[in-house]
Amino acid sequence: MSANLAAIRNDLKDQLLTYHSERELSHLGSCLSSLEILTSLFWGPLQTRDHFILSKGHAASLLYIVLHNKGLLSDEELHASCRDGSVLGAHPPFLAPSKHPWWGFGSGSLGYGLGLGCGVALGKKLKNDPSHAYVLISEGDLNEGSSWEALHMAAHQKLNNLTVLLDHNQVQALGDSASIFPLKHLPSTLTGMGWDVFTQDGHNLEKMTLKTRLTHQPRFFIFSTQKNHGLENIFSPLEAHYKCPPKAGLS
Amino acid sequence: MKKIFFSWLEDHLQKKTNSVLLLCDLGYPEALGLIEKFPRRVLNTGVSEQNTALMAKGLCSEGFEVFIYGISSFTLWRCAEVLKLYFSSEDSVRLIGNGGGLGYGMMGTTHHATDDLGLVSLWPAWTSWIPARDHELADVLAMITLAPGPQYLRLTNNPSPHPGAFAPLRVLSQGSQLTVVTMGPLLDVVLAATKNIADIQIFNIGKWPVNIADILQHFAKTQRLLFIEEHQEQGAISTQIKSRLDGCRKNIRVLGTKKTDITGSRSYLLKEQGLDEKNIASQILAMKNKGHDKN
Repeated sequence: MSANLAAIRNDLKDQLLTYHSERELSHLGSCLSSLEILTSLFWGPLQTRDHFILSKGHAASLLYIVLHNKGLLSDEELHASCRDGSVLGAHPPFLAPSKHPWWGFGSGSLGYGLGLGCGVALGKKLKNDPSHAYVLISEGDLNEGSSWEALHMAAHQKLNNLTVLLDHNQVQALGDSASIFPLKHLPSTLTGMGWDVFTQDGHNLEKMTLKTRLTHQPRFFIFSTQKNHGLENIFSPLEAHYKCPPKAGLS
Repeated sequence: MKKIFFSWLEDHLQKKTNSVLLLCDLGYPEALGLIEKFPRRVLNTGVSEQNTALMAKGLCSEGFEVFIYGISSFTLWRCAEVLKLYFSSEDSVRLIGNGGGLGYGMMGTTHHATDDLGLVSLWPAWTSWIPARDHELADVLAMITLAPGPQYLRLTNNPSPHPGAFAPLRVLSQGSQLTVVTMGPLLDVVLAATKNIADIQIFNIGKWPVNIADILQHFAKTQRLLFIEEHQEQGAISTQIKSRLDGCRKNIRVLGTKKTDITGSRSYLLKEQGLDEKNIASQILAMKNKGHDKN
């Protein structure tokens, strides 16, 4: 299984690097730090009826590539994305190509995925629908007050069909997140609120697992990641947010 | 209007099992009874308007009709970006804003909503409803719950004895000298102010947007228009209508609200703003008799 996952991850990574280089598109680092998380989720516990919500919308290109590999985006749509005239821009669209729940919602303005996930999870509970909602967030998302409103509400409502995946790459747009909006307190704060909290290495496919015992509480995974993962010799973590390798350098 | 709303909603929740109410920690005491009666579908989401709006979107996407109840100024402005970005014609969200206009009077300017209709009109998918009298509310709510897309309801109390059914557009009296256009409970102030003034047309708007051509045809007889609104002029419905009138129509005036830090009851504030019966009558007479050529 791990070998298979590693092969999938490697394939996605190749596609991602080509995609960004062809378009000279920024936010590659935001995708690299989430690569293994989404590989584990989409080739792991995510079911067809589950929702996936990309709150850290700057990883849209990774979502497009994953959904293309899952058959939810055609070759033509992927090729046209992040180019002039496409609805699929550098942040996920509000008018997605289909209503499949893996498309989630449009994003780009941070801090909204958690609240949307709360609403979806609550709706599923009201309908006695056993499916699940997964939300991928960034540290930038947790700068926003709306995220904290939602964190409180999800715990209070015991939305145990909601799983939050934090890509804790420790960098945001102007530097180290620890110097901008420190999150050292996160595990204890979330535990105190009523979340089940798990901390994992977000790049180690062998050790990562989203399959945990379900309790009556929502789950929050803190994945330690790197924004320049695999490109350490080319970019610093901060540079990886803005730059991508030239096409000629990919080989 | 609050009591009427909650009474109507209790009946609605009973009949429509995919309806949900999210309370922004407001609605005492009626809301408490609803929470008790429908504990799964009536949630107090606390003083967290952004999260409430986001949850509403999530619930809409799961096929629910969602009512959000709160104070107009907060339930719109605190989550304006969410309302703008996430709600489309497919979403059955009904935002119930209590205290539209100066309805929260003494509570202060934080609670006043004299820019609500302008804000909502920026979002193409949204429709605003402005009932004039308490007894119209049940009819308005029945229309809202059948309407596709997101709806904003502006609640401003007016226990008026005047009969008459709600309509999105209605002519209350006919005349050729001047057209007075008003919205919400100011309608009754205008009617009282004009009871002894002949030959003026009184026109009421209860929903926005509407087909502008339907409105303009009512203005064909008179060349003078006076808009009277419990709303600031910038972004007001009057401003939006004015922008569609042809250039030769110069006799247009707006009586709206102006920014103030003064507090007081709604009736006091209306008077301070020149939106009381006496001043309205005086403005109407002045415009009817002399015209108004400077606008």
